[in-house]
Amino acid sequence: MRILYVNNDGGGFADYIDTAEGTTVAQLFAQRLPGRQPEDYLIRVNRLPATAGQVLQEGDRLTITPVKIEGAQIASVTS
Amino acid sequence: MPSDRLLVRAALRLREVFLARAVQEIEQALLDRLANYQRALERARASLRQAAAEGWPAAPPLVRRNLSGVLNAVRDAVQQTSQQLKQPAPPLPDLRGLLEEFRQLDDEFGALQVNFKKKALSVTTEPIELEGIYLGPFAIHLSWPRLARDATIACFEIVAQDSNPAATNDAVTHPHVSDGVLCAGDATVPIQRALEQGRVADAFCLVRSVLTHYNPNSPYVSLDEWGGQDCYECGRGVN
Repeated sequence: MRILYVNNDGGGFADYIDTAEGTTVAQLFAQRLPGRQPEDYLIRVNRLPATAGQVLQEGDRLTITPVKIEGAQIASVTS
Repeated sequence: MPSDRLLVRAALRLREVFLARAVQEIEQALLDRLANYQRALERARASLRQAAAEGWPAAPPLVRRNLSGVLNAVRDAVQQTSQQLKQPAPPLPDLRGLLEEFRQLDDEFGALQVNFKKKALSVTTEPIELEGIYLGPFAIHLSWPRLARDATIACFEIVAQDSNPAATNDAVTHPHVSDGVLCAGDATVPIQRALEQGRVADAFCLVRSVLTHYNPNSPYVSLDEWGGQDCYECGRGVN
């Protein structure tokens, strides 16, 4: 099945991906962000909070956004 | 949350912004390609003036070659732009999508505001405390005129609502905010991508993720020095 997968980590990614029927949010998270902790991310399915065991459906929109990101002072970004 | 009527009005404004950006991108691409035409034109003009000064009876080879260069540059620019127009355009956010963005913003932050005079969408964070230092809640304003020019962090203004600025610089209301501008660091690129693609709620959430985290390696003012430094002699705080 196809879902819209939006990952706001790193450089950002937003595109349709194919995933197996019955895949849960936790399973897809583990596939796409191996080694990362779900509690470090805001995870939304169709713009609503999602549970780990929620089974993804065809056409769902899954968004993953880090809850803590390092800001920087502009001078050091450009140096 | 604003009424449906206001949200629809805001969504229409924002859609106009994204349409204007799409047109602007193609227009700029054409202008960039026409830069070669400008250079070829200058060479052609220079060779024509030189030939005229030498009293030429017929166009010498250099002039013909430079004029041919002008023709090729224009033809290439138009051809490339035509090819670009044939490509499927990146999808623009539609009205329904933008309304969903607004509803998500209201859910995530508790109270979305739309200000048509200031042409801004605004939300407010929960009070933020970093390493024991209270910084208060921050209003995050997205200016849609700025978004029309540039889909980057520059579209956002961050305003402290219960300001506790750094003792040494009252323009710094957060370690990564100075004069209302957030230095987004690692969020810079994902914020830009989100704004370009119309994922407005994602952009706001990314801004919040920077505000709720302290990077001790690169603040405007470090939290260690937030309240000012202690006097070496008496230990009292000084600015």
